[in-house]
Amino acid sequence: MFYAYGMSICIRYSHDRDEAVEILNEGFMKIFTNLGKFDLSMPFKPWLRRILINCSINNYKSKQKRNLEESLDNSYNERANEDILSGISYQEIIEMIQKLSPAYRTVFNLYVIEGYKHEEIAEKLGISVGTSKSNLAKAKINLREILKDFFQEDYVKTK
Amino acid sequence: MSKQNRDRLEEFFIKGTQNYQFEYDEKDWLEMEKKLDQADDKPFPFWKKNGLYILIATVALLSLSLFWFTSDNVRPQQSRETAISELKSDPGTDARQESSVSGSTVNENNRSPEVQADTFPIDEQLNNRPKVSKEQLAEKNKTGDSGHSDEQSNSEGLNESQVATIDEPKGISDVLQNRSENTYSAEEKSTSENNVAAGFGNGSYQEVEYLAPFGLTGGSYQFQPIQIQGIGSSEPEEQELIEEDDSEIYHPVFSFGVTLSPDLSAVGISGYSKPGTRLGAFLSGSLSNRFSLRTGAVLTQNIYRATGEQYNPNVGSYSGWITPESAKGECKLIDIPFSLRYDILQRERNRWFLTGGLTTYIMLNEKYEFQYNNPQPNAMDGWQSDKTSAHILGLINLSTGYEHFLAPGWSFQVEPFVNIPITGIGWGKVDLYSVGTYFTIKRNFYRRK
Repeated sequence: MFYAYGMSICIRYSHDRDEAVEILNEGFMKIFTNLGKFDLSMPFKPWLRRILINCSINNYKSKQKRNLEESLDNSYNERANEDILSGISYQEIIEMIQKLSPAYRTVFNLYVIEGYKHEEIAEKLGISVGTSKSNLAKAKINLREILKDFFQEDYVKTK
Repeated sequence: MSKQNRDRLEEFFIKGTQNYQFEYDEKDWLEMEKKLDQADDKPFPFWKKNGLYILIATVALLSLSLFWFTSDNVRPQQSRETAISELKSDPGTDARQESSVSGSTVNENNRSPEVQADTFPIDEQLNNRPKVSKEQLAEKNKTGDSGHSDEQSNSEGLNESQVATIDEPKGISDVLQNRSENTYSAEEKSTSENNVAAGFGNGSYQEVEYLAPFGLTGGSYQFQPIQIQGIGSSEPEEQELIEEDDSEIYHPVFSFGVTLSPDLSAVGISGYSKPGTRLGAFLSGSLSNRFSLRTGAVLTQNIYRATGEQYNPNVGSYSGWITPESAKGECKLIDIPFSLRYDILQRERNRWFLTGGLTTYIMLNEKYEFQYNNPQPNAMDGWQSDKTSAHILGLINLSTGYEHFLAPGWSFQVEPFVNIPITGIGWGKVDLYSVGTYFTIKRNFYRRK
């Protein structure tokens, strides 16, 4: 039950499934080792969610150190030529998000899906509020492009 | 981010990510197992896991140690009472008492530390009592109050050679036997049987040294001068001696204390999370020997968690309220207790007491953080307010404690407490229970006699 829930969070912040599993396992490790701190009278899911989001952010930060210069275009182009299935499933939506660069993807997830404010995102990621807003705007532009391509290809295929 | 501000793209992805489907993969669990095996090499710190229990055990041990220490200190007093009863029951006692009424000037420095510790606060007063010199005593005997002649008085041990010094006490009877042998002739002994002559009949002797050494286990002892009239002659006067010891327990008229405590708060009696702190001051005034009133102000930091069901905020006209799965609260407030204290056990240097009363909370700052199972972009992330509000006499406070007198006018107090809510506390109107242990340093003020 928690596996699927956890994966649904981690996969949005990851480049692929393997990376999502890595984050998920890291999150479960933290839960196992800190289980004594958990208040059994409280619901478990919010706690799990918080831990997994934090793990995803940590993963993003550690990768950011390795790749200081990350190009959106590279990330997008690598994926752009992949086959796109007709109809939009959950998996396809996740793949669209995964096509974004880690910086854009993380801000997009935190702001749009999780509902954090730019000030909170800036604090969590160690960036400025302006950068957070800029990354969100660029993430949306890229997603529109991805969607446009997806529907065009889908339209061509079905035609 | 409000719903109105969301564009179609955002709506599309929010809806699209909610219906997740993942099939369990065995390989993922195998990787997890590897991580767990590696983690076994790093045991979880014991103190982190059992911190609260260690704290409670430490407080309990501290209290027991103090109790043990103070119990030792009351031994000499108990021995005095025992001595009186022994002397009463021993037919030869009166004669011995005569012999013991001598100029007792055993070296003060030779008292054992155990006995010296007993000088506060009773002995302080005893030392201040008017002393009667040997010459005065002899003069008194000459006047015939004791029913003795001058010769008798002289022979009753009023010269320096008859100073009672006990180097190695072997027991009450031995000590008394030694004294009688040193200070009396056989003739005097026989006459004293009927005459309780050595000042205990109707005379007044202040040197009651025979009471003192019974608490000693070794070494010599300085007898304390105590003026007692007719101790060997009648029952009521003996009673008076015993009661006098009880009345010597000092009762502060007014006290001021500074206190510090951890604060464990929770909705209900379990589910405590991270501890907060309490720092404040108490004032108390005595109503009688055992009852006192206390009030004060304690700056308190409450940290707690509540589930959505336990949390009932007054959202007013705000229509977008979505009940969270849980809420984390952090409040700063002033705790103002009004309590009545009853001393269940009073000793010279310590007290055991119970306290009960009502408490007012003045909320200074409230901060709440909400958590949801699923993404709720429209829901409130939290709520914060610096607006002051009050819950007047909204809680019952109960505590029990131990007070130890460190030095004249100063005492230290350990007091576990619980605050039980009568009304809903804070913006969330939660049943907020708080427990902790006050560690208080007190300055006590006594009435001048």
